[in-house]
Parts: sequence; C-alpha cells; structure tokens
Amino acid sequence: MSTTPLKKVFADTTGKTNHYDEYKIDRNDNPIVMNLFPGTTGQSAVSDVIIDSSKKGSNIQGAISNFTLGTGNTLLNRYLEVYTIITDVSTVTNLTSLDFSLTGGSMPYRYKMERTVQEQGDSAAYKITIFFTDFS
Amino acid sequence: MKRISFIVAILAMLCLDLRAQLNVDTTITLDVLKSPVSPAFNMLGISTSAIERPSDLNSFRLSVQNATNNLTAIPNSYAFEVAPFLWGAKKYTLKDFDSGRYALLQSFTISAGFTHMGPEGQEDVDSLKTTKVAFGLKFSIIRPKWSATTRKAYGALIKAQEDLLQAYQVPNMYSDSLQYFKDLRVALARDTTLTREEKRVRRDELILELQRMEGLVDSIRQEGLPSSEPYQRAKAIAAAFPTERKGVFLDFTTGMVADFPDNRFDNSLINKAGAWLTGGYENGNRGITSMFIARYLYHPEVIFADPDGKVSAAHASTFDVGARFLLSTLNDKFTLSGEALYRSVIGNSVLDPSWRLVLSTEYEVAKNRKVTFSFGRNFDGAISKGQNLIAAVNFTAGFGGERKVR
Repeated sequence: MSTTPLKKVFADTTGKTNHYDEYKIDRNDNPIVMNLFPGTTGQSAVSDVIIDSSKKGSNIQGAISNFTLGTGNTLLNRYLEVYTIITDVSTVTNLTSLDFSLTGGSMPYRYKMERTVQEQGDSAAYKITIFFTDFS
Repeated sequence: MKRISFIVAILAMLCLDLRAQLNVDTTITLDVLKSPVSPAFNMLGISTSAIERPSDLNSFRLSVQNATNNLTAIPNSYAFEVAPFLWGAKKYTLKDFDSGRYALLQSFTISAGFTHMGPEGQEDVDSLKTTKVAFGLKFSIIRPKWSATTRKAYGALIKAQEDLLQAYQVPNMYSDSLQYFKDLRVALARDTTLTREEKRVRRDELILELQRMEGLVDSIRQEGLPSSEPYQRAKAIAAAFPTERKGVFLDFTTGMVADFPDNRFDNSLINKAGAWLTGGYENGNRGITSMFIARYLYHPEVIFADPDGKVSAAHASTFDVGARFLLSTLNDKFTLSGEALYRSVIGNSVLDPSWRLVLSTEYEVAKNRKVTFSFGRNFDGAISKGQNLIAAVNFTAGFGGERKVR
C-alpha cells in the first residue's frame, strides 16, 4: 500500500488531534461520566470507547452524552481510550472539533481540540487517552 | 383500465366542442403569498448581498467591528442574520439534523438591521436622514425527516467512517507501551521511598513522556489514512451529501420595521409588519406536493386584494390565505392539482374579501399526448354575477408539459 508523506497530506491542515492526561478519581462508587461532542455543527462522527483494551462502546454515531464509564472503584489505575473519526460534511466550514469532558472525579475535566481539514469531505482522526488515578 | 379508457374517450370527444371555452387561468400564483427569505430586510430595503451572516459569536464580533470602523463610527446601514442556537456549546452533528426534536432550535434564525439615510435619491442629505430598525424571526415548527435517498447516503457514510475508525486503531502497537507505563505509574503511586513532592515530579515527567509517545504513535497511525479506501469512500459521499427531506412541514416567519422619524429613540412607530405561516408536504426531490400559506401584513407595499389601489396601503392590515396541492398517480400519468386563494383587507368596508379556486386534471394518453380538464372560479366581477363557473376539456398533443409544484 502506498502512503502519502504526512507533510504533504496535512500541508494545509491545522490543529492537534491527540491528547493524553490523567484524571483524579476517588475510591468510591461514584459514577464517572463522559461527554463527547464532535463538531462543528453538521459534521458526521463515529467513535469507539475503550477501557483497558476492552470496548465499552463501539461505532457510536454523533455526540456521546452522559456515558457512564464505571465507578471510582472499577476505573482506578485503568486507561480510557476514545477514538473518533469526524468527516467534514458541512458546506459552511472545513473545521472539525472535539469537545471532551469527564465528571464524577475530584473535579470536572474538559479538553477541546480542533483541526481544519484540507478539502470538503476530508476526515480527521482524534484520539484521547486518560489514565484514572487517585494520586494527586 | 377499461373505465379509464372510456372516460378518456368521452373527454376527447368533449374537447372538440369545448375547446373554445378553455380560458381558465391554471397558472399557479401562490408565490405572491410566499414569505420572503429575509422579511426584515425586504421591508427595510436592504439588499440580501449586504447582509452579514456570521457563523459564530467571534465572527459576529468581527462583523460589528468592521461595520463600525472599530466602534468609532455608525454606519449608514447594517444588517445581520444569525442562527443563535447553532452557536452554543452543544454541537449538532449531522445525525441530529434528521431529528424533528431539534427542528425549532436548528432552524431558528434572527435577523436584524437598521438604516440611517434619507429618502430614495437623497440618501446622503443629513437633514432628511431618518433611522429605521428592522427585526425578523424564522423557524420550523414541524420539519420533515430525511428522504430515503439521504438516509441511504448517511448509512454509506457511517459505514465508511466505521471502516476508517477500524483502520485508525489497527495495528494497536500502543497497547503494550500503555501497559508498561501503567505498571510504572502504579508502582510510583505505591513507592514508599519517595516523598509526595518527588512522586509528583516523577508523575509529571511520565505524563510528558506519554504525551510525546501519544503524538508520535498517532502521527504514524494517521499516515496511511488519507490514501486508504475507506477515507476516499467517506470523502466521495461527504463531498456530495444530499440533504433531501420528505414529509409534513410547518414554518413560521415574521418581521417588522420600526421608524424613528425624528431620530429619537423615545419616539418610534411600527412602520411595517408581517407574519407568515407556511405548511404542507415536501416530497424530496419532487418538490412540494401540497402547501398552504397564511399571511398577515401591516402596511403592505401592494394590497393583494386591491390591485386597482382603491384603498390606501398606509396603516392597512391585510390577511391572505392560499393553498395548493398536487396528486400524481398511475406512474405520474394522471395528475390532479388544485389551488385556492383568499384575500382580504381587515377592518375595511370598501373591499369585500374575495377568493379564487382552480382545479385541474391531466391524463397522459400517450407520450406528449394529454387530456386535460380544468375548473375554476375567479376573483373578479364575474363572481358577483354568479356566472363565473368555467369548465373546459382540452386535448393537448405536442411536446407535453410536466406540472410540478415547486
């Protein structure tokens, strides 16, 4: 399979599409809830949600609202990986974005990324990795 | 079928005698009642090309800054049209546009504008300048869902995205590394030889290393995606995504213009106002097959019920209603269409309300050969005589014509 050099492919694209961080949770039965809004308005998105290599949600279309990942006890020292493909369908803009948030831990967590794709119909692949810890 | 052939034969015979009477105006004229795209600006006289349409709060701020020369001058005219509910933090993905649940918010449009100029031909004469402000609203109360064609395209797009998502995750070279870092991370938390501060420093270093690794692995993963088959498939569908709707719809539009004759904000009067309620059935790419419009206008440019200008348009209120439908059966060979219009001037005794009704049918006997039948009642003086019933049967042979309500 031939591959196109990265520099050429993303010559006119901008923005970060991957993120790694830790999220402080407590050892209790509080639910840890995720929200994910792929944008911008009118774009099409599909996501996979994985916890320690086990799929928790597969091929989820559009936004993910109030998705319970587990509790403080079950998620401690585990990894959350969220893969999202956003395709530019909107004729208004070539901008794609990802608005990710977590609640249920010590404090709410939010992270936003965006990328402008080169041409109408192009896709952007986003990846978020979160490590749940009780160490602060 | 025999019955239809018999009816067709009778109609064909009748047409010989009645051909001369074919004078029903079957032209569909409901367009006169249609709500303008931007009612506030139409009434204000601002051309549609001069309207700013910012897509978010930031571009709106820039637009205002540009128009006012960085907030140092008041422009002669400024107009904008925004969809405020598409600006919010909550995004609507493509899927959400198939749902009737968000129809009102997604279609909600606010338009506003003002002009500060003199009458036509004397726009720049300072002493004659007056201020006019316009405001308009538009939204769908009922919006049809996507047609089968759009749903099919969406399904194909999602399938391509799912395949792309799978390609993005494979090979999962990252898992072993994650496990390694996870073990390190857990061991660090349990380490009793380090102080809390030392642990924090070590933790932050690990996070930085993982962020670097994440970036590197992701760039390798992304490298092959644009040239992959699912990426190109998704691109081809998304670039030509058809947004077509089918079903019942109901839209509301309103607009008003306020006049400030002496340029004082405590002295204003409503100059013009209008409200439109439009409903019907949208049939995908075959257009609208039935439609009704109710329109209220205050101080209209032209009174629809008074083409001769017997009543002054100043401070007049008019109410007009129109409806039309189109029904096609037998593989579009038989078409039945109708149109009704009602027009009135509210609170006026000079003009009585009047109405018009036209019904027409069409049957395609052979290619480009049609039998048509029309029946109508007009607005004009003939109504009062009670002899305005017109009926005609006609046989048309030629290039034929397709009547679709658009």
